[in-house]
Amino acid sequence: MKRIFLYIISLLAIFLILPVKAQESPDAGEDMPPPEVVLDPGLRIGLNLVRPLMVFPLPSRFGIESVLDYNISPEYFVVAEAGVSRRSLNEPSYKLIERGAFMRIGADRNLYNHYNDVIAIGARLGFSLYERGAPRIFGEDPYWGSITGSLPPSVFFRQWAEVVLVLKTEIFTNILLGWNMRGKLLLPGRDDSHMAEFYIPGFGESSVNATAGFDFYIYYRIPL
Amino acid sequence: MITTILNIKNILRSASFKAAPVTLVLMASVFVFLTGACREECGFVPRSLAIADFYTVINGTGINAPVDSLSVRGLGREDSLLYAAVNNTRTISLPMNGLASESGFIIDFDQGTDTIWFSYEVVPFFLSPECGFIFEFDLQEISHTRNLIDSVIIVTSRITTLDETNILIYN
Repeated sequence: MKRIFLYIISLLAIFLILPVKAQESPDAGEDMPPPEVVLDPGLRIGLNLVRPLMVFPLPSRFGIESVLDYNISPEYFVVAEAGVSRRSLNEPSYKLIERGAFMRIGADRNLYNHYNDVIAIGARLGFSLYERGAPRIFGEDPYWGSITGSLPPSVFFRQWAEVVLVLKTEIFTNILLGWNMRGKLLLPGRDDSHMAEFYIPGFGESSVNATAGFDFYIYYRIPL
Repeated sequence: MITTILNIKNILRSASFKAAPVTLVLMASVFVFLTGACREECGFVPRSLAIADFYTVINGTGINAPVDSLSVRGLGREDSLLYAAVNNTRTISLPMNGLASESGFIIDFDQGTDTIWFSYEVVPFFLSPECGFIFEFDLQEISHTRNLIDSVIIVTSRITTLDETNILIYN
């Protein structure tokens, strides 16, 4: 519940802060040339900056994600995102390790572009192949006493769908910053009979079927 | 909606659009740290118990009938009673031993004593990062003495934390 609250606060903050920023520059629209469709063709290779940074506040999480997008026209991009993730929970009563790879494929439609600045909406289909196991489990039964056990690793495959709001801006020639807000919906799949849903690489916390996410990327455009 | 789109267009036209990533990175950092700090506590860890209902056949029909008085203890833990001379009980809950693949229970009725053995597979189940694992049990076989107990039937083989009947004890 707290996490959902945080998501909502973050999204609200984004929508509230950005317009305020815009209003701070009353002549902003006059200094720049009028908008026109100018989008240099190219292949953009990006790196997710949020995912590796998560390891500092949450050492049990590690992930790397890269993105590839290509504008087939000024309006349409095809997008592929892929990454790996490792999550380890080391608690007094158990150790749980989950690692896997994920991929998202989809397309974005550019709603507005201006000298390589982009606002787009898009859709993705996500896939995750991951392994999960618990090498150490410890429990306490009030009658029989201590219980120890383990859970050998099992492999799972899950899919989900996403809608994405994408913003990109060119900060230097061929270097872009971009950020995505995602709404995700987990598609039906095989449940782990040994676990309540908790985390899927690429999807995130899966105790609920629908969730939201935020990612921040840096891109390099390979001019074509 | 139109106002929002116009706002976004203004953002793109403005120099402050270039500063927006910095704002968002800061917000994302705060969000990430808050997410990490907001780990919830585990309030209650439920326990998997085999729920056994006592049945008696009257006129060819099985009826969940109370047992006048009974005591129950685990085999190997005879010094520790699970139930001590309880009266008029229709149901008992039995904890399986997670360190073994078999548990036995001695049931003392007013008129005599029976022993029931359960064979099972121990199945760890992950509840949540906060609560960790609990142990569930897949019942495979039940055997028993026949002093007062006539038969035992498995109705739900997976022993979980749910309040559902696993076995029927006919006497």
